Amino acid sequence: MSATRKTFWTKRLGPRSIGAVYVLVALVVIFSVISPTNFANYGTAKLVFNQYAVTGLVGLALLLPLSSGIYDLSVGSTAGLSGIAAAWVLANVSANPLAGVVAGVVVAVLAGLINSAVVLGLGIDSFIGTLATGSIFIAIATAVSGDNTIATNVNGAFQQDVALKNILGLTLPVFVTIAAAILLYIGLEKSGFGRRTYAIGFDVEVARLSGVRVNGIRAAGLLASATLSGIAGVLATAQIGAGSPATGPSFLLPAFAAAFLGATQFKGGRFNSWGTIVAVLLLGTGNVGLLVVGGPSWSPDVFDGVILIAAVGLTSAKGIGPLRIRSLRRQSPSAPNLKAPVDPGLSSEAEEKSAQTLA
Amino acid sequence: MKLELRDIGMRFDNRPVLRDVCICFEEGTVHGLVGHNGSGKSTLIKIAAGYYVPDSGAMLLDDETVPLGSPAVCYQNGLRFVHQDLGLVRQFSALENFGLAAGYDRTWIRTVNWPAQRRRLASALAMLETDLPFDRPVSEFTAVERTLLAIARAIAPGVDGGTARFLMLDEPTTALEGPETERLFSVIRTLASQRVGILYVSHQLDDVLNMTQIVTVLRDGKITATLESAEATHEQLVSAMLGAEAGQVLTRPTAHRPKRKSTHDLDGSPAVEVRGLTAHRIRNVSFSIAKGECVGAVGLSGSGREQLVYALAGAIPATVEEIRVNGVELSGLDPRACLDHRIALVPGNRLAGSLVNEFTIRENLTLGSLDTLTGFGDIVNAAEERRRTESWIERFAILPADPNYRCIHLSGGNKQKVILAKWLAIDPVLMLIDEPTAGVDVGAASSMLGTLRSLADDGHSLLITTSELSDVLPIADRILVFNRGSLVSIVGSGDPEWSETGILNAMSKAPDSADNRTKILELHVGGKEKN
Repeated sequence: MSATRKTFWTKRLGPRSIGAVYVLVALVVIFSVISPTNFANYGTAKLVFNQYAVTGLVGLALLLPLSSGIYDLSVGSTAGLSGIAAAWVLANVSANPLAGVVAGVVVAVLAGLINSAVVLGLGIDSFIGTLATGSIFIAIATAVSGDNTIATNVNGAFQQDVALKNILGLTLPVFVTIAAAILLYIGLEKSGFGRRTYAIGFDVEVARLSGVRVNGIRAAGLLASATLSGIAGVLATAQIGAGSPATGPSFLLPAFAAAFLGATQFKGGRFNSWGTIVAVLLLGTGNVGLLVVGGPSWSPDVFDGVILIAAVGLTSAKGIGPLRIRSLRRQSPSAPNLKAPVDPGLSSEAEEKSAQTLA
Repeated sequence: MKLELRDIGMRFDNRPVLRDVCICFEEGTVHGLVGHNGSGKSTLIKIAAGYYVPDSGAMLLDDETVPLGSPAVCYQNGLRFVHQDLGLVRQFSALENFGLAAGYDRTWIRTVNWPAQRRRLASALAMLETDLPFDRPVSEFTAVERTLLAIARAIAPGVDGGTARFLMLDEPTTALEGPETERLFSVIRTLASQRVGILYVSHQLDDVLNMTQIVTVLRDGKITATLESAEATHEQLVSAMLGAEAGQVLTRPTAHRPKRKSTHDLDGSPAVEVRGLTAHRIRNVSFSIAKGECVGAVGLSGSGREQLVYALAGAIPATVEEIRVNGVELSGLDPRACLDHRIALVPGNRLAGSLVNEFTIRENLTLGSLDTLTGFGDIVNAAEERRRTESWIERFAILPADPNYRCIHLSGGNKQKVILAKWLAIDPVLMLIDEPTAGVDVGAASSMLGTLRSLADDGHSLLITTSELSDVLPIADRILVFNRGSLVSIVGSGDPEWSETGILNAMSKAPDSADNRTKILELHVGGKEKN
């Protein structure tokens, strides 16, 4: 009994499971040694948390679509569009901070509905479909803003209430992100919905034949990702104190990096909340730390790239990283179904092949 | 010109698949080759094609030895093959597909000489006295057009000469409908009249008798008969295929002999009634299954029996006039509706499509019955889930007995148990099972059949589709026989046809359309009244 307990915990806490946590601790130690005065203080921690909360939220937004085997590449653009919508309403309709937040969220939900309609209604591959809708969203944002930043009423009460309110220096975005992480943790790992979501992501045909409503769950995922991205966009706009169409799209790559790096943590191959949070903290600590210790301005980009390859590579030695990505492609909704015996829509060659295997 | 395979012997894993096979093909002759699954037909063809090197024996073309084990040499010597899956790329045009196997003519700068390719395809089609559109993608072709393209590609002269002398066709009619088959046959006759020797492999014994001049029967890797087709009969072929076992009522130990409760014949309404099922190759099929009845569905490959369970489970597009489960009519055939009416599908290809490999045993076991485990806020009751998982693991002796073990690492037999348990967890009214013993060893197969029978005895209705009669003869109460998309015969375990021979006869006889169908209809209606 004690032996099995031991392997249980060494498995859970070993570098294969939570390698990113080890790297994170190592980074903190290294930066603290290099620059004990500039790095090793609460101010740096606050900076990492406050600056990377929004990135974390966009990363979390990706969890549901990715877990159900589809991409949402429009998260950055949705964040941008929602931020502009909030800023535009604040500048032109009402200076009430709540009006800005509501406008941003409503626009995000609409964006999610459009994504669902394109990907699930029209059956366009999610990679292409959300790339396209994202392009349209950001075009709308640019048009509405006249390609300018909107600062009127954004840098006032709105910024104060949404981005600067804090407890012990930790601002509202940090708590929003933590709340989202808890919700997604329960939704993905404790609920029937989450079980079905993972089942779709791993094997859409098995899920379908097990009575899982594939499109319903994927639609819910796209709606959730757009809503969370929208909230992230509103928060980012408040942090900057101005709405700019350029804000949102910059979150796309780090968010994806965090989600994929996070999938290698804790759950070995499943996209999950806490893995994503650790991944964001790792990226944030590395980036902030490099700048604090006086690294050149390009060093964070190098760090992001190296850390991604190292972390995913380390875990994919188990065969999980690449396998996961391949299975995503295979199961994108409009991709041809590879299970010949179950799909008569295929060529007669394939079906003869299946007949042959059956014979 | 003649092609001779002499004393061919071949073993796989120390198990003989071919033993001292001598066979001789003459030019201009259509030579039939028949035999049961696993009798060695495909191995023989693959040896002739140069894909396998036999342990012993030789191949001679006009008494000159042809080196074995080289597809290129075989091709140069004019031995050409059309395999069952044809090997066409759907998105490519006929002309592009042609080049894939027949090689490319080149221009002086080594690019493909398309006009020359066209001429070569045209000459091959002229040889077949048929015509095909060159530039349309193969996906737009009918089944017979694809077969003809594959044949044209095979018999075309090679880029640097080399004419086709022998053509081997493996199950060419599997995908074809009645009139299409005729078009193929006329092409085969045309080819034979041009002195090409043809080896025709098929399960459709009537076609073989019609088409060929000589027919060779293989059983367990040995030739058991070589007959003049004109004089041979259907029954002769079947008994040569089955050998000494022919005529026996059961060919397997009767360990799982149906212990059918007589009440099942008589009590109330059937558990499942299907009327007018049409899907893919299946045309307008009707039948019913009683509670606790185990029904087998058999047929040659391409007969439609492969699709039957998938169609009923809503896994493939299908239409049905009416389907009732315990008297309640289903609105349509889709997996969710099936789950709601407690119809379970155990797919045939166990390595893919039936379990989420990355999931644990626990997660797979409860995926179908998740609704009964979730409470407030859709939260899964973890304790109850674990309890149920452990009880299934115990009942089926799943190894390792760890609920959190990932299914990807399970052995085939244990995967099978997990799949069964997953579906039993919904307490199914009807279990649809495809190929229950495919890919498992004899011992596991036998215990699987025992399990299935006991499920039927517990009151679950079973519908088993299989290519192995030995899967259903020992355990089924009735067998549905399919041919060319139709339900051609229903054999009950008490009927005189209840034997391997009787059912093979029914399977391999071409359905003589109208007449036979009325008979079936009567048979079906009769069966229904009995229920």
